[in-house]
Amino acid sequence: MPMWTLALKNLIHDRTRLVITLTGITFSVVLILIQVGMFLGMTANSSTVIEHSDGDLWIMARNSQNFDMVNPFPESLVTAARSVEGVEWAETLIQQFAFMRLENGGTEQIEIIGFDLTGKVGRPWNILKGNIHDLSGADAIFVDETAMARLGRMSIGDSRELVRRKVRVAGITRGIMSFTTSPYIFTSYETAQRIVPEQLAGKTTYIVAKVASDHSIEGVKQQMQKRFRNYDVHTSKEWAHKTRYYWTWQTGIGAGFFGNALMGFIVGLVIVSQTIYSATMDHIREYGTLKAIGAKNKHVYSVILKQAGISAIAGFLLATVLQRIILVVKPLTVQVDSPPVLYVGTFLLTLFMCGLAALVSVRRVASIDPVEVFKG
Amino acid sequence: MRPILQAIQLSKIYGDPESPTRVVALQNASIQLVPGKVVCITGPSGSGKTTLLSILGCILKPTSGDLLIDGIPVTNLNETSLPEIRRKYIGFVFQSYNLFRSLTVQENVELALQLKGLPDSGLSSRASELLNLVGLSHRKNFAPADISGGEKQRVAIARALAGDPPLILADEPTANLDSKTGGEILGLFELLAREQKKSVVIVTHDPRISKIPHRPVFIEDGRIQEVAHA
Repeated sequence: MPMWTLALKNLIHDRTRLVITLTGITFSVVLILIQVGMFLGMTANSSTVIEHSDGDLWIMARNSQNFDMVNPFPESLVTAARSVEGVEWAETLIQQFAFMRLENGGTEQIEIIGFDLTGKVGRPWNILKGNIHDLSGADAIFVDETAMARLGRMSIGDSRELVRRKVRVAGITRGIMSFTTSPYIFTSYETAQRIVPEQLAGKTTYIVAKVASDHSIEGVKQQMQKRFRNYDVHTSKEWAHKTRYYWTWQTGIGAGFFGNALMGFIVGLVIVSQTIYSATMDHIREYGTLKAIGAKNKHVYSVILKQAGISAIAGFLLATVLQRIILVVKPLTVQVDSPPVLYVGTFLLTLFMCGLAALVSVRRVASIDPVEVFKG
Repeated sequence: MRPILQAIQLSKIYGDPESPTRVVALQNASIQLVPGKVVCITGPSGSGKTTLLSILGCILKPTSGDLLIDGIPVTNLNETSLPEIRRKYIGFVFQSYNLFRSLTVQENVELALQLKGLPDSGLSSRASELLNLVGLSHRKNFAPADISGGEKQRVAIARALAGDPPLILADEPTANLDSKTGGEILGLFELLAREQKKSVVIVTHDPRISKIPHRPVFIEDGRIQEVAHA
């Protein structure tokens, strides 16, 4: 126990240095938690419509790269999809960028999701106000509350101009965000076609099919691909993965987030190295005394590593509290995911960072000659 | 009486022994320490006193000669084995006390006891016994910064006694103390030798050493010039 006491008391002996150490760790850990959390949140958003749809197979224009950027094709092909053996049902789904005119006269880009109101694909979830059936009325839309920071405050019954068409807010959802940050606007399939008739009259952007339970998804996919030679066919998992991969890695956005997280790690490492080293130098005579009275190097190392470990735990806890506060006051248009594995991983990374930072001090202590303690 | 320590023809040369720039810190020093006796090493500055004490304490290797502690030849032991010898046989008292500033008086002694291998459950009571022995039980919860120089040295002595080593090596233990306190500390060493049969080696310039029975050893230019039994 006294070794733990020595580590703890050495740490709190110099309050200023302790504050600097904890500030460095906290800054570093908060940056990592936020950056990786944003990355996870945006990654999840990028495929959220796919994952909230019940279909197994997604048919789309050839060489489509992600969910948000697809070309229209004739909707009549849905009949061909339904005729493939093993298909239980098939529906059309529209994804289309458009512009909404704001109350103040400005415009914002939005992403229309036009779905079959009786189907199981592309339906909004987390509905706060309104009912799906309210979309059956002419030109009705559902908007997410997180979009209101950009589109202006909206209530049920409010009207807005979408492209050149007046639409009415029929429902409000919570927490449905796109990766592109353009707000999703859910509407009926027919309304979506009416809003952008130039691109969408008689056309869809997806056909989504459900595979019967007595058929394999892979087998039906192969049949579907034979039928739709000039189109891409993906399973839901494949399409979600391809979309996430596109936005996070092919665009370089993921590298940006991890670059920032790495920067946080390096800044934390440098600050903690410096403060632990200066603390070690401040107590170097005491470590020499420990060696002189019979401590092995491992005893002395353990004191320094315990200090690093205590700093890591305290800094991580402070950072977690600070991150939760930031999440409460964050702008609602940014989604930060914080699954337990993120905290576990970041905690281990914090321990590693502090351990690595302590190595410089450990090397210095290893070189202490206990004879030095006789020098008055 | 069987010696607890035997130093035979110890020499210490800093630098290349063949080089004209070498520094001979100790030459052919031989000494025996027996339980219950105080040995006082004196000599001018730079004469080799601290070098001899460091070698006797197994924290400096001699260039030549042999050192036996409790009959065990330790000269050729490596840094993996020497800490064990230091823990078992030797207690150090330093001129500047070298207490752990962030620990209380009690914790300083407990830390040494833990290093000496005492189980955690016995640390507190044994530390209290040792502090009582040096007359400091009323200061056990004080920080080193809040006690006097004499009290610090008493803590250092209590720490040196942790693990009940047969040898106590003290380097200028009264150099930073006033006359009265220095006398009390020397008296404490004499008490340890007499009542606990410790073999005590004190490097000092303090003339008050003459007030306690001891065996004087005088060093000059790295050579033991004179050994006379008290």
